Amino acid sequence: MIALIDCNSFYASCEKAFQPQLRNKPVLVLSNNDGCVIARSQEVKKLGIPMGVPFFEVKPQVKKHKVHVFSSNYTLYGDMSARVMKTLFDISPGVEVYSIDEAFLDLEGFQSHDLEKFGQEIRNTVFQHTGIPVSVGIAPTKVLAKVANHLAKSIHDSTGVVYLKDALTIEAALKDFPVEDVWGIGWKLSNRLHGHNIFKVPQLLNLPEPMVRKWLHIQVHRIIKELKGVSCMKIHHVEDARKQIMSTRSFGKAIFDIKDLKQAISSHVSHAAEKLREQDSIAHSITAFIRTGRHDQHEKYYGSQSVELNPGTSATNKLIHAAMKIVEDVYRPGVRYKKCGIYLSGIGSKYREQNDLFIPGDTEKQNNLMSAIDSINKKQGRRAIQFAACGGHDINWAMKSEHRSPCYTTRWDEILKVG
Amino acid sequence: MGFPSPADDYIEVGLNWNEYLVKHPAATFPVKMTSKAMEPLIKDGSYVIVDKSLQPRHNDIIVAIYRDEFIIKRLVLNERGTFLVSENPKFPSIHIQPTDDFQIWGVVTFSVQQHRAA
Repeated sequence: MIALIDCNSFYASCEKAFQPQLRNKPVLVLSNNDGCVIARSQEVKKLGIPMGVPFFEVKPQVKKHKVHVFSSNYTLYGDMSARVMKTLFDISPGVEVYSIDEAFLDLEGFQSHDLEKFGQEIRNTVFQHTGIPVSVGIAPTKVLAKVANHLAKSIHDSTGVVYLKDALTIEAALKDFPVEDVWGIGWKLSNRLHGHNIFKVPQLLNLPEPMVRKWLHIQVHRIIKELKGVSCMKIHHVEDARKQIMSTRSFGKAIFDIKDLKQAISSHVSHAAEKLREQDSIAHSITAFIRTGRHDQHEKYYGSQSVELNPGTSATNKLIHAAMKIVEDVYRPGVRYKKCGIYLSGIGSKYREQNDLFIPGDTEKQNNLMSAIDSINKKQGRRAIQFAACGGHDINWAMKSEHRSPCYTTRWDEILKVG
Repeated sequence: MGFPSPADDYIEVGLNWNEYLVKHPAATFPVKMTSKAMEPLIKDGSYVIVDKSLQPRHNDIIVAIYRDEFIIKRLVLNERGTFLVSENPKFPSIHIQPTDDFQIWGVVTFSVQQHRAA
């Protein structure tokens, strides 16, 4: 069996974790440059505010319902993600980090009749240790685990754990499951399928084999196999490179030396940076991890850290520089490292960043410019100066620093203050 | 470095304070004390280390959520109920009622006492 653990409204939950007065309040997170909504707590979803809308479009609703707005704090999110993943690793070493807020857990060797309870334990442990609520989907394949997790989140009275334990439960779960919600089936393919009257998963599964082979991409064959309960999927095949780019590898033989780890990490960074540039993107955060093997008899270790990239970048040298610092920080001598990797997140279009008046890398000028604008805005009224380059959106750039929550776990001067 | 030393067989990794102070890194958070409620035990302005993975016990110093705020107090459990007690007699203690908004957030494992200003 495989579990898919997914944090609920991850960025919004990170903000709530350190502000107890926001526990049941609507919380929304914005992207720095776009001023678009990139995360919504459950309360905000209920208000009908959609994902990805420009902030100015929903300002009236935000004001009316007193929604709490934050600028994205990738440093915080990266650190909290590492904590969630490490907590999962301590539960079972068979962790495959899929994205900043999702991981697969290999449950081979666990008793199947206890898995529902085990799923609850995972939820409780992660929440107690990190403050982040998660949902758990358990099933025989990765694609089905994703289905289970989706149901855990969307079913109204769900306990937060859905366990597809046998063919009957799987069939019931898939009966009304929309094809567009299946992991790996994007909007383009769903439109194609809809065009052929295929709306729910059972219709997709009923397609005759020769038709599937002729008509659909090989990636979709694997998805169909997995939906039928046959495990055959490797994680990288359906990576959503628009949200996050990952590069990881297991070593054939254990590595002990920091030099070898640095070399491996550097090549992962180059590989990922290339992908980043290919899609004309830049990243605002890099996370690197080094860890022991899944079946290791010796001491387990998982070391990971995130670094914020301000300004965002796709330059290999800058990314490597950041990654090397992380390795130096998390490296422990005497540990048998069997896997390492990096992931880039906070991915945005490079064009938007260029349109801003900010000169990449010139942070001091940037800050002076911001202070000048802020002080003029304070004297003349809030929006005396705006940046016209941002596609005509009414974006208040003073928001960029005003609404970011403190880096509670990575900056000494920003840690939680308690009386 | 380049020459064999009689100490070679006895080389150990240098001592790392983190290993002593942070047993569960993923669940350990830094907090700054910002009141005199726990003086003289924990001075106003000092740092404390909070472990969210530990099961809280009677007499533990804890960080709790009480009425939508974080507070640091000593947890006292007795036949009369649950109390959050300040070390400093000038500060109040709290008797937790069943309907109170109260949650234990983490256990304070260490506080850092600085003797020489940086």
